[in-house]
Amino acid sequence: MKSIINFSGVTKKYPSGTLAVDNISFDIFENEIVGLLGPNGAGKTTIIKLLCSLTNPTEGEIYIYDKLKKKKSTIISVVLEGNRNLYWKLTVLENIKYMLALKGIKFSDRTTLVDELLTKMNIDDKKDALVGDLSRGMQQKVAVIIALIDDSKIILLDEPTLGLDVESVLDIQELIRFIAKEMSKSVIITSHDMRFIESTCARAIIINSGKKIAENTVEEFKTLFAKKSVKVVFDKQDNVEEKFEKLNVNINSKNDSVEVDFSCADNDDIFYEVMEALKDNKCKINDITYSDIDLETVFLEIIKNDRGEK
Amino acid sequence: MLLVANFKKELIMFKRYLFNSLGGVITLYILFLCMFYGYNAATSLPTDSTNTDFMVVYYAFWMLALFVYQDMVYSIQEESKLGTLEQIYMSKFSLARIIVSQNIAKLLVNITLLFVVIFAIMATTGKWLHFDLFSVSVIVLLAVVNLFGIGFIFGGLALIFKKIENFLQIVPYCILGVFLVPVGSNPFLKLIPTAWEVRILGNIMVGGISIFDLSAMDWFFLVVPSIVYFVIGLAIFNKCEKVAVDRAVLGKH
Ligand SMILES: Nc1ncnc2c1ncn2[C@@H]1O[C@H](COP(=O)(O)OP(=O)(O)OP(=O)(O)O)[C@@H](O)[C@H]1O
Ligand SMILES: [Mg+2]
Repeated sequence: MKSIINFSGVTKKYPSGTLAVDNISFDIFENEIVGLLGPNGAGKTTIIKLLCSLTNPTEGEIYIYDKLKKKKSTIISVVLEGNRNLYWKLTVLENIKYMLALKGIKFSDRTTLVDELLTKMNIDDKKDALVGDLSRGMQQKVAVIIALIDDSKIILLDEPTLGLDVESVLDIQELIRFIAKEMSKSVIITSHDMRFIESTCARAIIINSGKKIAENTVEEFKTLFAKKSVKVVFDKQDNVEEKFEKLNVNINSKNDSVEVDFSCADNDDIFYEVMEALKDNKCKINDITYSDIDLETVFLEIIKNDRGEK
Repeated sequence: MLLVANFKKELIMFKRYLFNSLGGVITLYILFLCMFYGYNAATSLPTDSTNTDFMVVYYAFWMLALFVYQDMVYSIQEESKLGTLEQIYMSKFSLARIIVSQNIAKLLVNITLLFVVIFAIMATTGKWLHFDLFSVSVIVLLAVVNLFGIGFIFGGLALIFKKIENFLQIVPYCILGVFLVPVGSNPFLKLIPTAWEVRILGNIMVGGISIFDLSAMDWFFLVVPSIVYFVIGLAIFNKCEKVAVDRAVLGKH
C-alpha cells in the first residue's frame, strides 16, 4: 500500500495557548477509509485543518506522497463540520460550477459525474433549488459532492453525519464507500457516531486530549477487546452473594433476585467460574444475556483506560 | 476564468435579487435628491453654483468608495460565516487573488448601477456634467486601485477579528472627510488615500479638463500613492491571512 499522507510528529499549539495536537504521527494509504475518533475537544477538527492547510503545525511535518507539504495542496478537499461550505443564495448547480471554477476545472468536464452523484444522493431534482432552501442533510450531501468532483485524492469529512436522519446517514455512507471504491480516493472521517464509523471505516485512529492513543483496523479493535458482556439473573438464596464475591464480577442484589454481570473474552476462566458457582449453589437461573461488544464500547474502554493512566 | 466565474455569480445574484438591487438604486437616487435640494434650501445658493456640481461628483465618489470597502469587508465576513472562505482558501489561487477577482466583479455591477444613478440625478437636476469617458475611467481606475489597498487592510482585519462592525461605522465619515481635505495647500495632503483623485475627478467632470491637461506632478500624486497603498494593503492582508491561519479562524466558530 502506498502512503498518501504521512503525519510525522505533528504538534499544534494554538496562539491562545491550547495544545490541541500533541506529537501525533500516522499514515493514510491509497483508497482507504479511516475514522478519526475522540471525545469532544480531542483535536480531531484541528487534525483535519492541519491536513488541509487551514492551519499550520507548530512542530513536525506533514508529507504528501513523500514530499514535504509546505503550502496548500490541491490533492486534498474538505467538508468541515455542519452544513456550511456553500453559498446559500446560489442554487446547487451554481455552487458546483463556482467551486469548480475556483479549482480551475471546467464544469463541462464533470457534468456526467455531477449528474451521477446527484442521482445517487437522491437530490437530482434539487439541482436548481437554492441551497438555503434545502434541508440540512441535502446541504451536507451537496457539500460532499463538491468535495468529490475535483481532482483531489483525499477527502476529509469532519462530522459528516451531524444532525442527519437515519436515511441520509445511509446515503452518505454509501457515497463514502463509492468514493473509496469507484473513485480511488481516500477518505478521512471524524465522527461521534460509532456505528457509522464501524460500518464505514476499515481503520480507526483514536485521539484523546491531543494524543494518539490507539490505531488499528476496526476489526482488530473489536477482537482486541473481544469481550462479551454477560449478565446472569437468578433467584435469591441465603448468603448466595458471598459465593460470588471472590470472583471478579459486579453483584447487584435485589429483593428476590441477584444480578451478576461481567465482561469476558471467549473461553475466559471467569465465565466457567461463574457457571460453576451457579451450579454448586443450585441457583435457579431466570435470565442470561450474552451480548457482542461494539466499537462504541471499545472506544469508551480505551478512553477510560487512557484517562486512568493519567 | 476566475473573473468570469465571479462575474457570472454577481450577475446571477443581481438578477435573483433584482427587486432588492433596484431598491438600492432608487434609495441612492432619492437620498441624493434630498441632500441636493436640502443643501440648496439651507444655503440658498443659486442652483447653478459649481458647489452643487461638485456635490454630484463627491456623492458618486462616496458611493464608489463605500461599495469597494463594504463589499470587501462584508463579503469576507459572510463567507467566513458560511464556511465558503475556507473552501476559497483551499482553491488553487491565493486568497488575495480571489478576493480581488470577486470584488472587481462586484464593482463592475455596482459601477453600472452608479452610472444609472448619476445619469438619473443629472437628468432630474438638469446639471449635466462633463463626461469624458476616457478621462473619468482612468481616474476611477486609479482611485479603485487605491481603495482596494485600503479595503485590503479592513478585509485583513475582518479575517482575524470577527466583530469589527462598530469600528467600521466610522469609515463612511472618514471618506467624507477626504473630500474636505485642502489638497492644494500642502503636497503631503495629496498622499491621503484618494484625496487627489477626487479633486481631479471634480476638475474633469465639473471643470471640463481632460487627463491630458494634467502635469507630471499631478500624475505622480495620482499613480504612486495608489500603487503604494495597494501594495501596503496587500501586504497587510497577507500578514493577516497568516495570523488567521495560525489561529485557524478563517471559518467562524
Ligand atoms: N481556532 C482555535 N483557537 C484556539 N483553540 C482552539 C481552536 N480550535 C480549537 N481549539 C481548541 O483545541 C482543542 C481541540 O479542538 P478541536 O476542535 O480540534 O476538537 P474536536 O476533537 O474536533 O472536538 P469536537 O468533537 O467537539 O468537534 C480544544 O481544546 C479547543 O478548545
Ligand atoms: Mg470537531
